[in-house]
Amino acid sequence: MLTKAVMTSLCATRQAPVNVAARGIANIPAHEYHIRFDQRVGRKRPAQDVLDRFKRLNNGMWIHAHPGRHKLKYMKDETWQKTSLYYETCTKEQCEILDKLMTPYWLRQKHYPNDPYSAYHVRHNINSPRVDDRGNFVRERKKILMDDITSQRFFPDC
Amino acid sequence: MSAAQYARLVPKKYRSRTLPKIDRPWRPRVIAWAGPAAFYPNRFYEIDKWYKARIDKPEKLPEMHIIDPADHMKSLNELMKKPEIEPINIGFKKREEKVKAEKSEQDRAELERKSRHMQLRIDIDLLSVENLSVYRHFQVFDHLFGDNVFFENVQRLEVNYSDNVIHNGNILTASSTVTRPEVTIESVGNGKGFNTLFMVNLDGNGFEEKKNNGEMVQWVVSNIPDGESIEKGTEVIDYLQPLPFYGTGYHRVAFVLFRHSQPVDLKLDGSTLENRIHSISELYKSHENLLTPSAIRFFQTSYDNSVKTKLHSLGLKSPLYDYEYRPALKPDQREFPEKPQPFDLYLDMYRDSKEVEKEILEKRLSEIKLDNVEEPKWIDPDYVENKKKLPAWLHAKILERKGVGHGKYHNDVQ
Repeated sequence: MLTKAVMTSLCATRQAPVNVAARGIANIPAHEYHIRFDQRVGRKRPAQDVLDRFKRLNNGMWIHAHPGRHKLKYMKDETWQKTSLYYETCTKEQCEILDKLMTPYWLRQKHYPNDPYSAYHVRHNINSPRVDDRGNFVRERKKILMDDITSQRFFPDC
Repeated sequence: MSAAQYARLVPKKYRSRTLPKIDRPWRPRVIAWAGPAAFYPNRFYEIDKWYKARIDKPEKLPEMHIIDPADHMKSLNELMKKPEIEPINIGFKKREEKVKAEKSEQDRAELERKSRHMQLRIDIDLLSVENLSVYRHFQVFDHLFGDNVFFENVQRLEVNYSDNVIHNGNILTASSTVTRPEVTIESVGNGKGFNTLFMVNLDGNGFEEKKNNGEMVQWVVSNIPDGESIEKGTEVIDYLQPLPFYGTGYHRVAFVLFRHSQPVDLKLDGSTLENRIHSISELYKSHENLLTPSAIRFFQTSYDNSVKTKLHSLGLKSPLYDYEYRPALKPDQREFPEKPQPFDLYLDMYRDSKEVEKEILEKRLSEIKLDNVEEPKWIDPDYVENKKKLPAWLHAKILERKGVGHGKYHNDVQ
């Protein structure tokens, strides 16, 4: 009579080896691309994956590392080795989606001591309107709403 | 919505006879399908209530280089070539060289043999080679008297600053030109006639208002009797050392000798630096009947500390000239760039240059060298550590500051 331990070990060897699938665009677990709500708190939970992979600058711009920069690195050229290390900007739509995946806490401005990103939290000389169609400020810095010419003259960065 | 929920929410009095069909929210599904722009008030452009009066100014593009289609087959040399006009000699006829005795066949053979065996020695100092091509190359005649004009050197003019003899365009340090040079003028008229010597800095005019008024005249001695020393002449403008300002490169300084039979009265004012600017071509034009150029020499100088001390002794400041580079062309800034951009480089491109300079200065001040501090041997001693820990852009910045961009953070501030 075989012992239970031997039985389990035999069973384990018979099973096909579990291949740990690389996490790609095709197999993102379903719970990660949804806005999740916490039943106990009754509020939205921020998507942890987004927090891990992206960074939000105080001006509303999201940045991320180049996806797949470690893939087949040895067969790619010098330029790619260099540029793949860049942290890239997101498009407007991506930024909006990512904002929706966050809670208001993460959309607030953050100020840290010795922040290496401190120079990039403010945008300079942007001509696009500072308010959306509902009159809300698009970029984060709170200011008095005034006409375009005056604001561009006295508040070039926002 | 179920019937039970409907019953719970709506009092009986207001209930409709049939259960109303209420859809599940379809907006999020459309947004998931078409993206967040699907329900913008206008899908094709954003309307903003506050900014109706804004006028987009047309983008000003830099002027392009225009190529004339008729000429585009020509080479650059052909395009740049000036039309050939025969240059005008404004001076004297070329002096006839004394022809030495004809060489015999034997002498020729001997010379040829020597030259073949690399034994033929020619003393350069004994040769009187008057080659004007150097002057043409440096455009000395063009900038003194106008285009297409030249004259021959017919009178021997020797100018030397102690040991430094002036030839055709040799380079002297500015400190060696502080005191006036010794000038020897050959006598050609058997005691008749006069010489007038000009010393002109062709590139010395640094005055914005007098930009086209002429050159800086350093020294004028007129009416030197033929065969006499230069002290016998009248000094119209006293000697001032050439002042090649900082950053203006090499200046051409020419000595021009004029020959005239009658004494000439040059009314030149050289009291201040600004008054020393005179146009030689205009001056020559006004005295054309009297003066004839007979000899020219020139040398080059560049900035030196002696220039600064001279300017300070005149009660002036030493100007610093610097090349003004065109700012780099950059695309219009987008709030959200369409294609992914490296965020640090993209945002740096549009940062205020003053703020960037301020940041650099702060970094410099925080790293000011003490006397007993030893610089690390390597650009980044914790390279491996930093490579793992820091984001690549930050690490690249550190490497740049210690490596390629070292000068930006460590060079002296002007």
